[in-house]
Amino acid sequence: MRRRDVVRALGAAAAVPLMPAETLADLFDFGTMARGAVRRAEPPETLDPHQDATVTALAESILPATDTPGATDALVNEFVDLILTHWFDEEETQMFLRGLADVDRRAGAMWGRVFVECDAPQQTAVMARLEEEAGATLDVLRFWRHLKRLTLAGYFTSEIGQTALGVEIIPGRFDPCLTIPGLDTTAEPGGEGRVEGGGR
Amino acid sequence: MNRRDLIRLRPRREVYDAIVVGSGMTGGWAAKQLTEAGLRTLVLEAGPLIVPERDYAEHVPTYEMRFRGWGDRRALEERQSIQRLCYACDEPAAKFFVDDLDNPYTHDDDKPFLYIRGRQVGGRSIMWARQSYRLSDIDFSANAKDGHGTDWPIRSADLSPWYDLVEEFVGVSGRAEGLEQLPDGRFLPPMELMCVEEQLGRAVAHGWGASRKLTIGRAAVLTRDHNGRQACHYCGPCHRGCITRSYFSSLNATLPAAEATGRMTLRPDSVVESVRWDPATGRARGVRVIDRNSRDEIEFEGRVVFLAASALESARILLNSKSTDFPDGLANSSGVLGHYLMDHTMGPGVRARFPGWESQTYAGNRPNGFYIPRFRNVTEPTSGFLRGYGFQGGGSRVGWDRGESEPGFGAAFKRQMLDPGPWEMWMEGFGECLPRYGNHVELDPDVVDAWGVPVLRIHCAWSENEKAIVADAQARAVEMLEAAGATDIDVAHEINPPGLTIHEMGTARMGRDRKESVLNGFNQSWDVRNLFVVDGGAMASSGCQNPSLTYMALTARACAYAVDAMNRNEL
Repeated sequence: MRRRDVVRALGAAAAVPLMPAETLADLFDFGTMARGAVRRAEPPETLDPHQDATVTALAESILPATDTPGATDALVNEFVDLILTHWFDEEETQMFLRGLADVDRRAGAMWGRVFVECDAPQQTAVMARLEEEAGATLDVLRFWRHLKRLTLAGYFTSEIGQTALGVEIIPGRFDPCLTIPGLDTTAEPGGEGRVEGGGR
Repeated sequence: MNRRDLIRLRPRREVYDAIVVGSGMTGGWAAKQLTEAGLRTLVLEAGPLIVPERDYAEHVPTYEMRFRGWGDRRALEERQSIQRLCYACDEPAAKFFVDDLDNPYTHDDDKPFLYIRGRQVGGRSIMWARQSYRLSDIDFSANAKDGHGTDWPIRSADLSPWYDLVEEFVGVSGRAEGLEQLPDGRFLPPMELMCVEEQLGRAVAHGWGASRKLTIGRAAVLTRDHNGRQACHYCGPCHRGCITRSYFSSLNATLPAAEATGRMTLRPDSVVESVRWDPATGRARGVRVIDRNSRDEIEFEGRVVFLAASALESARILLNSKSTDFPDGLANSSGVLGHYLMDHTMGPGVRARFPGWESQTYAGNRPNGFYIPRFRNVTEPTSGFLRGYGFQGGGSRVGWDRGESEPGFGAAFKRQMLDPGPWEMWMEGFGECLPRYGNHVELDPDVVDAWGVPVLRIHCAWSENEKAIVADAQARAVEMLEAAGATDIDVAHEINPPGLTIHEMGTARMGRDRKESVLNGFNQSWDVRNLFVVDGGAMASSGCQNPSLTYMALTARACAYAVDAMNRNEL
């Protein structure tokens, strides 16, 4: 169900209380709700073109295009630049940028080229090394965590990510106990499934 | 009302039948009931008008938020460093919380108080958590029984019809349980419990019999169409507003009802600085207002004045209403105005995993959780502390944000993140706070807000009794979760400073003795007969139940009393 339908369903009950006359015209124009959408035309503010490409490649290797679009399609790099520019404090931003340079150093040591010029298996090897060292070195851990957090958030909060998750803005119902189709249900130690009592 | 009405308002000199200060939970109710009784009522609100169709944001998808739901961190740190600590002050809803620089307050360095405020038409009823519970005679007689605080001048029988009235208008969904400590109300059909919550409920019933009971939360959210408002569509983030008016707020329900009478004049942007007192008549004459935008000072006159600005703001207005006869603040001959400040303890919460239910999930976002009514010192006595606590909690499946700390990357990792994560359950105790004289507010002699009004200096800390309640609630939460088969039980340790539960109350308490209380049993000032305080300030004890429903029931009872007295020309 879409917002427009929800409001229409109100019908005459929508008494439109306490509303200045000038907003009446906008009442059903929910196109205006979309102000502030994030897709931008300008170049990144903090990332230089090489860093931008590196972030794009790193994010794609964390959440690649599969049967659903990947991090590149979801413009995760733009979200990362926004956070580096307007959300992180200076220390966090510098730590992240140092981490990007460190990725290139590792790629150079392993394959003799920068990360974005590595092929997919080479990139995967660099990522695996990075994740392994995150378990041992605090600086690497911080970068790795930030990278994954930014990638996950940038992807799953995007329209592409929300669609992939099947998020419904207006579910129109609450079903407290659904069986997920295709999952093995025999291993359930609770055993009773939907039972009497409680809220049912 | 439109802008032309606002402009016309200023030069006009008229005496309103009633002035209501505040447009939130209780101001909205007072506006409705007074106007429906025929009174021409001026409602003054310190903040701006909120237009639901323009300002509500519950359906804005994450990708249309600039920071994707992370909030504008720098703006929050600069202008809302306190407000941001409230869970509801998120990216779309931060606009419903005050600017902390314009609205300062002070406190002792070693006694932090987190003062969470909403200044707009609708007040905090826009962002409230909607839990709606009645107090019982166990609560109303608690002060008399253990000697803390002053005896409530009323009992359940006095308030019960007013709870009925409020619930019938508001629409409270819930399940009748027949419990002495949590009286049933006029409920709409209950929402449903998730499988893991039912599992916990069975374990509680099995382990503790009739002593403890897990039930669905009683929430002011409609489970069917009600009074012209539409049933909930389970989108989830109620605190951002609700275009279908499915949860109760003054903006969604009581203010439109007041407006429909044609007798309400609503004036936003009106910062009430003081109540004007007329020494010749011994009555409140009206209020002095500072226009939020122009800074002009304006006076409004009314036959009765209802303060509904919230416990702390109403106390502040009265403390700031000084005169020769009331040098310590209007209606304060008792000296207890501003004292006996209470809030509920909230948590710290307990979190656990529920393995074994991976094949089950839920659809829709239920704006409600489960509730375990108070059992301490009801069915399970303890010598460890006085009074008790109730639990709120809920189940959910962890989302993609778990991936930050989980190993892996690439296609398999992505697949995993698209699936629901483990089942998680949280629960936390909401504990009663003893009324203590030392927990109080006063006007800060040095600090004023953006409108030049002296701010509050708040002195408030938990006592040993509240700390004992918190510790016991955590231990009992852990034992119930363990009995239900939960794993990875995680207990948070730091107690929230008072204020963050946003149930502050008690600063103008009602009582039986005018030397010990600010108000009589009808929320009427002992000192100034045409002055009423109908917000949480009136509370003589806190109970452990979420208080808004009680505030509204008290307001309804006070309004009926005032109208009756006015009709008899006694006010």
